[in-house]
Amino acid sequence: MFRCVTRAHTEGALGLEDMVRANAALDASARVEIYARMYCARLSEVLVEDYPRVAAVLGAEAFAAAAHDYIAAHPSIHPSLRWFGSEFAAFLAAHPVAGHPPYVADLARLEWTRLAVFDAPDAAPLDGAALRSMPAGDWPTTRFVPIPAFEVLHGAWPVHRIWDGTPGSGWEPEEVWLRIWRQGDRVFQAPMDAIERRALERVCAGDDFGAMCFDLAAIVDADHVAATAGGLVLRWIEDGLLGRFPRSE
Amino acid sequence: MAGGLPYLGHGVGLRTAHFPEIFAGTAKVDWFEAISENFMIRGGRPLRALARAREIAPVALHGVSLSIGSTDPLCVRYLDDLARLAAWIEPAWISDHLCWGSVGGRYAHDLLPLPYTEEALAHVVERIDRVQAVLRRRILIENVSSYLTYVDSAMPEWEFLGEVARRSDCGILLDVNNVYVSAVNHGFDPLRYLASVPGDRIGQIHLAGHSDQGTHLLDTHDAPVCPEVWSLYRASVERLGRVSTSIEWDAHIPPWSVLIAEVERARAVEHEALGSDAATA
Ligand SMILES: [Fe+2]
Repeated sequence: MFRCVTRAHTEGALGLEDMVRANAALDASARVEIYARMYCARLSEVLVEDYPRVAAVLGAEAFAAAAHDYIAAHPSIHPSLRWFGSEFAAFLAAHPVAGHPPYVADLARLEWTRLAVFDAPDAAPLDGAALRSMPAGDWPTTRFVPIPAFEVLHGAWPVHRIWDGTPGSGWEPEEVWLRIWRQGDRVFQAPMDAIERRALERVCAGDDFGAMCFDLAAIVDADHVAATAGGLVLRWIEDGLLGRFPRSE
Repeated sequence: MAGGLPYLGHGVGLRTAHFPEIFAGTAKVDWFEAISENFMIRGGRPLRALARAREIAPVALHGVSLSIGSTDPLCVRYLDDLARLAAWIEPAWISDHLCWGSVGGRYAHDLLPLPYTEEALAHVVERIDRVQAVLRRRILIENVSSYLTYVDSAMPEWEFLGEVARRSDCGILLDVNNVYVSAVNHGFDPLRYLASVPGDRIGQIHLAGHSDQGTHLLDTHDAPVCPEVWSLYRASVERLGRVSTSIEWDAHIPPWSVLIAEVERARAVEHEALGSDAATA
């Protein structure tokens, strides 16, 4: 009986009315309905909290419809609501709806990535002073490491501007590479040009500064490679994007 | 009071809306109650706020997803995360609800009531035993607000809850608002509930607001504590003596000062109920 009750409950109201006591105020199905309504309302609310820009872009009605479909397709499988919305961007991409702006799935990906960065592990950022005191000869073999609260997002729409500004229908597709990171408690995002993207890719791959310069020489004039690469590293340090060096080296 | 848990006084649920007061150190209160799941993350502002709160006052961890009554296996990863969080924050105690919230690996994120049968009782007791073994401490189990009861229930909720606590040697978190909401929804006498729960097991009391939907009361935590619940609180304190109490306010969250006014009111009710000789029980 116990198993039967628990099964029936989430599977909809299948026969559950027979198990539930009615009284004068509410019959059995009305009582079950209270829980069903709260289930949808609670999960929709989580999606609005996790995807506020998508909700603003779609408007209340269209967002509610998308949320409803997502809730039906992706039941929560994690004890924490933190992860319920994890597939929402993919869901929006796989189920395009007439009337949704074409960039909505990309915008959702940006919002989810910002959340990931928001509660990623803490790490002490690399201090610019430590770098300035480093002998010039050490630069080529130095490995820079991004902090854990850092992600790169590749998309087909300028979602960083859509996120920032007034949503509208005038947006044109544009391939973008964004770096998204946390400095203190705040999450930042910035578009990257081809040089920065390639340099950061090398850093993430574990290359040292010398190897990074060597790689950049493919797209940067040889005379300027070191200065360009050095400038990027300094910018990342200023942004708090690089972590402190491991102690032992 | 249950298992030698400390009397912490009157606290509040720790909510994001009040993180600024936490960081500023102006959030003065006897203790904080943190929703465990909100802090099962790896870093960032929420964890910093929890650590800061812990510097200000004791913290208890209050879970919503243990799903102690579910027929799904206990979620090992959840218990690991909870144990890790507890090792870090050293909570005064850990609590969760007498309910089920998952089936077939799917979570309703709700506190669904159980049928109060011998079978369910044995099931819940066995699971609490295992949770307490993993966490290496006794936990508190809270009565929930409910909107339905089962035809098969063979005993009232207070009897079931008391029996759960006795058999698994856990404590009880008595939510006085939930007693009132369920009493109205199911037509029982809330004073009978209060009188029947084993007092020596009660380690904490919850107070909260609810909303009236006409046909039933809904446990919305979005309003001040209502007069009926204040008088039930007074009756509880008269019976039990001082019990650590917290205010839950989760929607339409008011400014810190309004929340603290509720806390002070709870303190005043306790004083009225016990007089100057407050250290009973
Ligand atoms: Fe409660």
